[in-house]
Amino acid sequence: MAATREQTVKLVRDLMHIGVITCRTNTSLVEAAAILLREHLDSLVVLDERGHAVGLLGQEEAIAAYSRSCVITRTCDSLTAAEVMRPEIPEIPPDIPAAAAAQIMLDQGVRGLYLMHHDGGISWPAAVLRVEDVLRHLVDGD
Amino acid sequence: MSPSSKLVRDVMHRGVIICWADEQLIDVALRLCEYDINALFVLDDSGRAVGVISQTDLARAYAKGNWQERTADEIMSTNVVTITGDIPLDVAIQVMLDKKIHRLLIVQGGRTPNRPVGVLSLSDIVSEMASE
Repeated sequence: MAATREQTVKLVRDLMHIGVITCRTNTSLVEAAAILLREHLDSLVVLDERGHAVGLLGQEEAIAAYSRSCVITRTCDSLTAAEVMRPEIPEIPPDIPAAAAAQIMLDQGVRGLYLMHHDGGISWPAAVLRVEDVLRHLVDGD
Repeated sequence: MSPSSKLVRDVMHRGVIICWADEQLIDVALRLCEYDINALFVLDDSGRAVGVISQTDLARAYAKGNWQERTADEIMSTNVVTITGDIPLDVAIQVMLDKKIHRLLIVQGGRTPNRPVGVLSLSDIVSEMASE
């Protein structure tokens, strides 16, 4: 019986996507917005010149900066991803149940969790589980 | 062009995807997938917008279990913020940031007040940013 249950529980690795869309620290805010739009994403992982993941640029941060800079200082054209991103990248292991991952998203107030690889002092995102993936799983019913 | 020189109606998308308060969550989830949207508005029997259900709300129901047996009104957020299309875009953005909400329901004023006509979402604003 336990084995049957194990077979039916979906794990993070069953639902997550390999490959993560990123931008560089010097990517302009407008360019980052274009990537978010084109790729239908809520957030982008920001990499430094070594390819090390240093932050996450989400729609909310981008819009807050856009609103603030355009209205108050008129400097939105010069803003970069590094100036707008938040430094935390929410991580998740691949071998926990998808329902637990959904709870982690809710607890952390994020719409995506990343499987990070760490090697030689560099971290980079290998895969992502988004709330859309959880929804698709609910609809597919598998 | 800065957000202060635009109105909500210049940026919002027209049309509102809805569900009914007594609809089962599986049907709500299917509609979100079908239209590839992050959330939809919940209407009561009189056609009044009484809530919003987002992908995150469905993920919350999934995490709690027994989500298939529940209906829209059990998990929806009742924090529906409505504005009219003639509000300056920068004011609307500030409302969304202050209230930590991802979308505003745009309603018509005038002779048929409160009739939903569109939605202003974070994605609409990102689209506006990208077009500069």
